[in-house]
Amino acid sequence: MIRFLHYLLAILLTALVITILAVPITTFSNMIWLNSIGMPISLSIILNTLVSDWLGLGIPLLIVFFIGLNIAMPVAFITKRFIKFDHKIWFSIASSVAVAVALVLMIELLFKTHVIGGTRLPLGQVLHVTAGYLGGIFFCRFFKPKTD
Amino acid sequence: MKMKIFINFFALFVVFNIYAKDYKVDFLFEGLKDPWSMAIIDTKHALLNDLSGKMQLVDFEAGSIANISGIPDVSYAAQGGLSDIILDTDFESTNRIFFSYSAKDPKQKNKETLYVATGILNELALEKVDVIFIANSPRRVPQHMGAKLAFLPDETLLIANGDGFDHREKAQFLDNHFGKIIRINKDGTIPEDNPFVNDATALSDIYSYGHRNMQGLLVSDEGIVYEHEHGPRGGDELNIIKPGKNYGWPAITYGIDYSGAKISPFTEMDGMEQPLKYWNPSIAPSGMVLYTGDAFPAWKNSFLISALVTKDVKRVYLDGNNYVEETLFSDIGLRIRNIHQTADGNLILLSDGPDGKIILVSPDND
Repeated sequence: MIRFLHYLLAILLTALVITILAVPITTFSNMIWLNSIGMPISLSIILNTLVSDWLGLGIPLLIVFFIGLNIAMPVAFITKRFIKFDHKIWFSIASSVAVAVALVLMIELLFKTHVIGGTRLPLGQVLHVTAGYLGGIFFCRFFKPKTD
Repeated sequence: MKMKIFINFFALFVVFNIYAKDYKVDFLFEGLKDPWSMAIIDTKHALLNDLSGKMQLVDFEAGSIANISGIPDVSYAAQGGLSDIILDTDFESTNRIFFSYSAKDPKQKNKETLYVATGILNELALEKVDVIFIANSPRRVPQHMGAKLAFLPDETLLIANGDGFDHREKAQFLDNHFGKIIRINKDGTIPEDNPFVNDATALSDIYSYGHRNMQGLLVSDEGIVYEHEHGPRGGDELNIIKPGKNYGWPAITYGIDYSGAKISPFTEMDGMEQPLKYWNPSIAPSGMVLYTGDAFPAWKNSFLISALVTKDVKRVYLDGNNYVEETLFSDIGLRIRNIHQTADGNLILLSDGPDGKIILVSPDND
């Protein structure tokens, strides 16, 4: 039971880590564009917007990533026996796939549009998936899944 | 005791009269697929555009709707399809109509864009159909099309083309038609006095820019252009459109993204126009008339703006220096897709499809 609660906490914290890393991608892509057209972007505006985005965008993203990880990680646990390389990498890949699938589903299910501003460009999509991978590394360090 | 009874009856009388409706609602037609816009021909007839691609002749007197043939193929998906329809300024002599629709982009076949065409109505057939405008705004899905049409007093045609949702930043650049109001002549040529004709970096048919998803466009008898557009979460706007002006989207906005993220921390900036009025939270304005009829004298010179989210009509009028708002027809309880004024001053509401309805609102003289 304690191990299961530990697992749930690990999933939640992993989703939180990914969210904390992913939200600034949208914030900075907006700020960079606004700056490029001559809008007066200052450090305080960036920080204010970042905090606002963590609260506004962060909560729905946290929920989406939490659901995605709850599917991806059990699959990773089941399939790790077939994997020859480091299982920590396998869990990180599972985490990044969870993020990628969540982003694709958000596009396909929500009117085929990029609802998350930071995913409109390929660079933003790569950065989101990278945030997922880093979340997977956190998951392994926190939960320490048994590796064969 | 008698005094108490009298006071109670008096209070009931006052309450009843405050809330008594001074209009009646008749559901003229039901079960329409996706009604989007209407052009009133006379007291008995109107043309109806259904987003699904059907143009229809509505006979109010006979209570019938008949399909019109000769309509081009449209991309009926998301928010796209057969969209706005307006009569030529000299329709009585020409039988000519103008209409907008989304269809495959001519250069990128996997993308959609906005078309404007004209044709001659010959009973139940549209003939001599001629495409006079194809927007340079290819998008993967027909979202945020705008697609509203209106004539200026000089008989040039205004076309609203939305930002395509995924392409919002392009609304700030003049090399494309995303988020623009475009002005062309009836034959598709570009008027020589358009604001950007001498700007080599701009498309010369652009009239104004920095728009999102315009769903209301009208020109008053005085020649003033009014437009309303959907904001994202909050930030729906009612604007006066002037040539060459930048309306700010998405550099300034009173709304935030659907995701909860800020689109811009700015609500105003030099060189960018402010709305006459904005809504926060959104009402999703979907159509607009500037009421000029006699059927509802109290509403004369008011904007009547249909709304999808709030399922009502907003009467917006100038009170001193402020635009104030009154909510109408919330008792109907339907998402209102568009509003039109009939020749005799009554109102036609189109409810959003599927199972769209044509609703007549007239004075309740009983």
